[in-house]
Amino acid sequence: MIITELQLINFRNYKQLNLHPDPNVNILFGFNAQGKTNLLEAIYCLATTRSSRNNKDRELISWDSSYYHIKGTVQRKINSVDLEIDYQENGQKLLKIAGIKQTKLPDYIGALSVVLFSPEELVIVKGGPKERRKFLDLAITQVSKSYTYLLIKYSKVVEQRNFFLKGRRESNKNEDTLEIWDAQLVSYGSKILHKRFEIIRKMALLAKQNYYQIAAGKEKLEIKYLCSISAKPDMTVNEIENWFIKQLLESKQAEFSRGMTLVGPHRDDLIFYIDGAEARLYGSQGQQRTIALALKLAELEIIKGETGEYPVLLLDDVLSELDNLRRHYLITAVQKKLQTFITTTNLEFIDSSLFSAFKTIRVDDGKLFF
Amino acid sequence: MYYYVEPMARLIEELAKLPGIGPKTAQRLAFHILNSPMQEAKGLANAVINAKEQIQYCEVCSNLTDVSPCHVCTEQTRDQAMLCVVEHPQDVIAFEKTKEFKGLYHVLHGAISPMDGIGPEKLKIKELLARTPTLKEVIVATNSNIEGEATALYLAKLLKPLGVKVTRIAHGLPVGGDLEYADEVTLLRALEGRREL
Repeated sequence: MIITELQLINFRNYKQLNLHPDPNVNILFGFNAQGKTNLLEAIYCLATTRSSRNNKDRELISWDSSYYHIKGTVQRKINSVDLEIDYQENGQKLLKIAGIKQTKLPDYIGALSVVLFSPEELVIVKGGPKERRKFLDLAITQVSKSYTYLLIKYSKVVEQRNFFLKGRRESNKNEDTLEIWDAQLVSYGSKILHKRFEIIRKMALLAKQNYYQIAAGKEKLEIKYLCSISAKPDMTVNEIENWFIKQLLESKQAEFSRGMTLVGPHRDDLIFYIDGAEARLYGSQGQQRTIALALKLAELEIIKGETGEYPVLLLDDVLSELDNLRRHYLITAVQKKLQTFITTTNLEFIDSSLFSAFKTIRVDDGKLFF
Repeated sequence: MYYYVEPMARLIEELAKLPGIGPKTAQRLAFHILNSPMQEAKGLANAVINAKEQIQYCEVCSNLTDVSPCHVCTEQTRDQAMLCVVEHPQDVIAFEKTKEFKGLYHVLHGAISPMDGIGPEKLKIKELLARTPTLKEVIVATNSNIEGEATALYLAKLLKPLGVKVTRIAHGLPVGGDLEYADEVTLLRALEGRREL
């Protein structure tokens, strides 16, 4: 999908903006603090209704205003639709597709899909297991609405179950009504795992290929899903359920004494290996960055595979972090394939022979110059 | 509330405590009450007091009632062996509107939710157990959210050993709904609950 027009009113440092982006590569350059990332944030927000930098909606409104408005025309395979977000200072947020108000979030999300790659994405490799689950879950929710529903339900069950376990431990009561939560934990959890296995299988393969090419065939990336109930990736939902029930039984005493749910998809992790060594512990900064890049490029292909269309790619200040070889690989991997927005402080990072094919936009204090 | 004389301020304050009533609505309601005849205002006040004084939990089904046992429990034409368990008194009204269900009810007054500190002992489950000897079937009609489902399971585990048939109401597509308008989640649910023709 391609954004053919973008309008911003009172969004961050953009009082008023009207942009017709290039369907191929758009390069936003300029000094620091001019609004390059704000523009990417607006696109991200239009797609997900949320800030990419964990800003509150109120903080997205530009100084001295009481609302913000984002409108984008998205060209998709079959049609072209207008997406709109209108946020008022009092907390009222209006989402519209083709002028029609959307009251349910899952109905709105997916009309425009984006993949964001910024230097912070390094946490997928360097950070805790939570970051990796978040990355994986976000990628899957982009292609499956029912997965979003499963995640919401599952986390609610875990929360209730943990409250029960905690209360039981603190009150020293011996009541055993834990099992009334287990059926739902197993049912939702197994479906989540099944979907994760399916996506991981594809992602691992794609990321491996990407990594192999970026690293010019010198190193090999392997991805493993670390499953707390040790279910196997080729299991059916039913088999996973049986396995899950067995594991719950085994960890019951431990759960009673620790007062929390110890097994399930909320305790799982992804492990990345480069030539057999765990990248989180032994990889160099450059290798870790390459893994993040390989994963993000794999995410693009997965969305394309599941929905039939490439998402819009947002590259926030990543060129400076990569060496010449990786920069070149990234740009050739995305150009002519999907719409990309790249922010950079320095145009030198881009091969000047490519300029004629790209749209370069100078960003200066909330204004764009072409 | 500084701008109002004390009795007015108090009225607004009390009204604003009601659910769904903000300060502005409370203010509008207060003015409406003041502008209405004394008789109407007294009618409202008395209705509140009467309701509060006369309504109690039915000793059998725990529904809200003015006489105990309640009108439903004493109605002899009802099927005394069939019982529908619901979370709230409002749910009884919803079932009664169908005019089809001829059994009895039992109101739990909530669902099990450790997060909110609600365990089985806080619900009207003891009262339910006391009724089981005369029952053939218990229909569990708690909500289809996490807490409702867990409560249903809890009841099933409790009641089944007593030799009562325990059933759960169906969930899925609304009647008269076109498939194309159903959201994916509801469809998924309906698919799981499919039955043979």
